[in-house]
Amino acid sequence: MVSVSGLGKRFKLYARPADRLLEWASFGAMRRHTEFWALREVSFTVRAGECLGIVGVNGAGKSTLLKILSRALYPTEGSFETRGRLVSLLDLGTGFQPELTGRQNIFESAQLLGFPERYVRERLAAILDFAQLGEFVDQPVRLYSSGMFVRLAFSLFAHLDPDVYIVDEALAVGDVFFQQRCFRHFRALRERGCTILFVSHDMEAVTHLCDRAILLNGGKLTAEGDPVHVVHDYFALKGQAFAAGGAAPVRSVPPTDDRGGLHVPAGVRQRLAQPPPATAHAPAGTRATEIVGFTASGRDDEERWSVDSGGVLRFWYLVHAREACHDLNVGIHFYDRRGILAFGVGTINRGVVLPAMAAGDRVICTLAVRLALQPGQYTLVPQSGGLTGNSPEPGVLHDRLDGLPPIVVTRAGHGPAGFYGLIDLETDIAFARLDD
Amino acid sequence: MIVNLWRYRTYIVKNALSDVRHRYAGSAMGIAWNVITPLAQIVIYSLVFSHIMVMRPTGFGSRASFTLYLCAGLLPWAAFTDCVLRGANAFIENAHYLKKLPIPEQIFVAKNAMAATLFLAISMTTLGLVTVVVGGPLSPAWLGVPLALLLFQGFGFGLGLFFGTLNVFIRDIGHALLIALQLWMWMTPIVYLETILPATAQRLMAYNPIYPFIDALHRMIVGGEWPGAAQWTAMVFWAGIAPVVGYLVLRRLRPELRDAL
Repeated sequence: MVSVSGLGKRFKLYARPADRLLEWASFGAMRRHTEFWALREVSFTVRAGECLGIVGVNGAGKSTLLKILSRALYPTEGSFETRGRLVSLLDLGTGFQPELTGRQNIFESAQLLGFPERYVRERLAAILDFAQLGEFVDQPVRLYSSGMFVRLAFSLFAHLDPDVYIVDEALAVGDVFFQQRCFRHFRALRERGCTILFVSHDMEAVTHLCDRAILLNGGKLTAEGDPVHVVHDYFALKGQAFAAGGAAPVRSVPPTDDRGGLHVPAGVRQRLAQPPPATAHAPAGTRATEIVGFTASGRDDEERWSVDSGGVLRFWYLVHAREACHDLNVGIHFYDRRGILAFGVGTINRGVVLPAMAAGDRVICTLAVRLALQPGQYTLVPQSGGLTGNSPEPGVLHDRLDGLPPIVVTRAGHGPAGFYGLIDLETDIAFARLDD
Repeated sequence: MIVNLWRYRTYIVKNALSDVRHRYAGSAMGIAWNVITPLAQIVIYSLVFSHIMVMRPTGFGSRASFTLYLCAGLLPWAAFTDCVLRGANAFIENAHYLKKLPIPEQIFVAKNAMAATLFLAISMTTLGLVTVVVGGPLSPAWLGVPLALLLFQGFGFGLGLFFGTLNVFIRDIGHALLIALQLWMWMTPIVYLETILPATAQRLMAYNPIYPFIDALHRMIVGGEWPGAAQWTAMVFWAGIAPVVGYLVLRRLRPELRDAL
């Protein structure tokens, strides 16, 4: 269990080393430092056995937070509590000495982390087995390839059997087989009731592994909850960062036919006039454009939120421009029950250019999606956004609907499953009988 | 502080030992250098001061005994400065550990102090053996030497802790310390006899924290006499107070120590 309340970390920055001397010599009467708060008023709790993802752009305070929790830094204010044995994987191989052999380094490093020798001895076989170093176990670490180094370090950390485990970007290393083993190991740790704090820029991994996530921005906790939503907020932030950074000329958009030749059935028009059946608009959106109506329909234009695998659902948007917008992008994401993005698409992906909008304009847009997905429940996340100059996605998030009813993809017919896996890829099968 | 030092005792001892083992790593003679180096020093002192720069102060019968006097002061002094100087740099040298791992800071100062003490043990044993071989006086007072040396190193550990903490914040301290320690050596009767000092300077010696240690060592090793209770008290006092002050300073500055690394 980890509980953090009102945590803050202030760094004192001195322009010159002599400034600190002056400040000390005057017993603080001469203030020569500027303050920098890397973290401020961060509070959250992680239940035992829960996996919390921590996301944020570089410099958001993630590392500072983890260092405080692993007691490598002291907080300036606030408090935190971690129950049980904590192991932190801040930097793989910290404490490894190049001259010592792999085996010696395992003991050395574990001692630095405060684990007794006996503890490591009991697990030595498992550690060495996991690292798969072969004969290199008894060679000095300086002869290792970087992959071997990381494998050794990770297997040591993974076998220390912690109650709380702090992982920072550790899984971005090693080949795909090692990564898969790491993920398996993580799941095993979780099932054993180990609490995990996981920092990563790999958003797939975060949505995949974590039960919950928090988003840090400028040292503050700005979003907390379902990893899928937090990851969306993260991308929205990144989009805003792009927007603030670059003022590249926007690609001019030749307006298409305003009507778009779209036939909107009366029933759909009526449902779009209602507020969307979502629980919330994402707090991170700029709301330059808003999705004021949203509905789904089947081929018969009736409201429909389920479909046979391979069938088509049509998603309708009524977008209201609160500000002028000439680069509107309307899209939708589908996540499976594990939080894996099964499919996402937007007008931009398909090269569709929506008409430029003046403030107050409204547009109806529809995406007909053939849901060739494995039967199951999928959450759907419609969003509207803008491009940012010539930069690719994600652009700027304007609005996003959270908490819509899930789409249910049902199994068509009986007999064997139509396919295995997440999505149905088009497959042509042919055969010929060889008679002679 | 004690609890943490105890918890990490294996780490401290192991690393100090490997320091002793690896200091001369890569050389053909290897560990033997640990004995050769102090032995060479003893030989050089005795050559320089008994044959070239002949200083035979009154009260020293043989040439050998002035060499003994020199070694009795210089070898412990070398270990003491090692302890203080390496202690002062311990946090900076181990910044990569301190910034990432929840290790108590004092471990690194203790590790250096332990290594310096091991070297001292080797060189003093060498000195003892040389004394026996040369046929010098190896009185029962030698038995008090290890205790005095341990107290001396304890004092050095305290200073290392104190300066090590400050040095992180004000890096000039490490450089200033080099000069200060040299000055301190010449203010203490290590390479000269106390009797050549003017009377005022001799009186001031009571305020020099190093003096009780050096004097006690001289008495035991050269004079063969047991130091008085006052001297033992002074040694215990300095060896006790320095780590406490060092630790108090560390505790006060600890929250920001790793930020400044």
